[in-house]
Amino acid sequence: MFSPLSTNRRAPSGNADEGSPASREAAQQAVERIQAFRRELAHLADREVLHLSVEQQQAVEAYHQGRLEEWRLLFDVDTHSQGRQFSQGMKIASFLAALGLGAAVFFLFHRFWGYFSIIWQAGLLIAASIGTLLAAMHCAARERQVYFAKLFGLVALTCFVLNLVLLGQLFNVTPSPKVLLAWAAFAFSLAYATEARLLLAAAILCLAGFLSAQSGTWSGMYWLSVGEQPESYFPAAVLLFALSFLPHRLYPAFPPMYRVWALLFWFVPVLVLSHWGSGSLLPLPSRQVEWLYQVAGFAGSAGVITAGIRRHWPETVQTGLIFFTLFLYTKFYDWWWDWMPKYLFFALAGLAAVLVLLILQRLRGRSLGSRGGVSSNASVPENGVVG
Amino acid sequence: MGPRMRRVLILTAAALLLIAAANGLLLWNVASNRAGEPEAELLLTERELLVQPSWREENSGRFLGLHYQYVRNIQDGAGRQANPWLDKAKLQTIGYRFRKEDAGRETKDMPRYPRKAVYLVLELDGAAYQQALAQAAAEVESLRLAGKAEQLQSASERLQQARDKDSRLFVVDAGLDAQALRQRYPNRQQYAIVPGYVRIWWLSPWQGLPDQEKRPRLSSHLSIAHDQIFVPLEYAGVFADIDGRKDHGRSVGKSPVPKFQVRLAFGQRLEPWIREMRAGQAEP
Repeated sequence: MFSPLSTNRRAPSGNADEGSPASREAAQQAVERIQAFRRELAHLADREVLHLSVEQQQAVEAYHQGRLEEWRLLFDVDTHSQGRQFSQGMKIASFLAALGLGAAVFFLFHRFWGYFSIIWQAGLLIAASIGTLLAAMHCAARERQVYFAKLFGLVALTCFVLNLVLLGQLFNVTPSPKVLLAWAAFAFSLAYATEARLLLAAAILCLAGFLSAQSGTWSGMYWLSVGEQPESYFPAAVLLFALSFLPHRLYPAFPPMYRVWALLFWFVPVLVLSHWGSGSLLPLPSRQVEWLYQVAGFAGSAGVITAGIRRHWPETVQTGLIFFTLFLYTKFYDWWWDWMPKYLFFALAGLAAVLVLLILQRLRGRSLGSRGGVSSNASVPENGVVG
Repeated sequence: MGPRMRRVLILTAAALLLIAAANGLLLWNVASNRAGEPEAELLLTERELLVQPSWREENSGRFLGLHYQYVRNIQDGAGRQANPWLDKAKLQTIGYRFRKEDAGRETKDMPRYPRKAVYLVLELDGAAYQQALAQAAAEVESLRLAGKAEQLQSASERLQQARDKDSRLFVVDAGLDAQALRQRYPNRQQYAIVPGYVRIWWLSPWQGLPDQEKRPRLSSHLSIAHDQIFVPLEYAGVFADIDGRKDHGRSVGKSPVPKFQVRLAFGQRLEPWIREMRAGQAEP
């Protein structure tokens, strides 16, 4: 039975040690948990399964109201569905504004830079980078929902990219992969200040590009040919996956991003090399290389699915499933497309998906059983206490 | 000061340092490139530098594109082979490896090679250009002797183009050591060493050859890493004069290309810049 709880409100503290969420995203998830709890409680009461006493209802309601108010003040969370819809709209508007302003800055510089001397050109480029950076950071420090911070962050990244690209063109500098590292570091600092996943994605792409280009140059390859050696993306995949294990208490959305991008930078090259063995650095015949990568692709994606289920990483499971399906369907295509009637080909592909569905269903049932979950035909105890 | 403000301040400081460091390093490299005497200095004309037409309405930047040619040998029944000096021995010095077991393979089974970063040697108005003129003249002479009037007209136009309009800049050598290349080509007014890359691939054998001689043949392509030269504001007037036309490329038989000369310097980091630019023809 539930024991009476204190009705004292907790003073807003924002201190994660007392069990408060450490970030806005965590707070929003907590709000949704409370709302789900309220709906389930009402449903149980409706079904005559569970009734809280008046004191218990008041205690629970007072506690929840106190937490909601605290998080609203600290994180500006959305406590009702209308607010969430407005927030979604604001996110889209912020993204479109950033795209538009970034493109405007790009074309503005190109339109007028030829009319300035080199000193003015360099000065304007550097000033634009600094100005937009300071605007983004100012908004990040002031805003609770950081829409304008993300907007200015994207524009700041555009300005910094333009800064180095145009300065390089002004002085006819030979292109180098090191510029990708500078852009990555800048994007990371903006991403962690503004909690923007788009900026994090930009940082990850730049970092992966740098690592791939640099590892290619070690073998004497021209760095812009990085796409011709898919294996040069593997070091980036390993690093990104390792970064996901760093503590991200204040950024709960970031580790899944690292994992997904790591898996993309791993499995896309594996998929390519499973059909294009001559693109590999391995000193083996093409057919052998393709066979090796096909085995690695199937085993790897199955392993990723398993790890994702065990670690409760839904994005990892989904990515693993997508690639497992891609490997499977490309094998089907290799084996059957040329000679099999098309209706039979697609029927077999569909049946393979049904087989995967049955396997996942069995795994799910086993997982529920091992956790002691309630099965659908279990009887509900009379005292209203479940489990 | 809350933890969030502290975090933002630290990240701001790091980003500002990054802007300062990236720009500082870039400008330092530019200064070191242009310090002291240039590594090479070539006097180029409208034949070797083309006005770049990239999205002219939206881009006020002024660029000239370095236009260069490759040495070609005429081979009977097989057209012209580019870069005959870039043979297997030379490619091995650049870092390519050729395995004996690849010798008997079909073209489609031959290994692929990635592009390699190298230094290229550009020769201005030297032996390669004279050879190209001699080849064009020899073609005209052989067609005249054979009495092929139609082909003679085209060949004559090609010879005139080679003499008056084509670039006199040729890629004549490649290597991994810029210093060693400079020792081999010490004339800094005629030879420039520039960063570039080389790509090689296998082509199917020529069908006109006997069966026992049919083997996949190696083809190559060389390119400069950065062939766009920015024209500073002080030369905007000269650039406007030569850029007045709508057709920015070179052409034969159409309106003549405005004449100009550019003194192009290459610095210690082998990056070029315009030291002087003027309209008009070069003095003989």
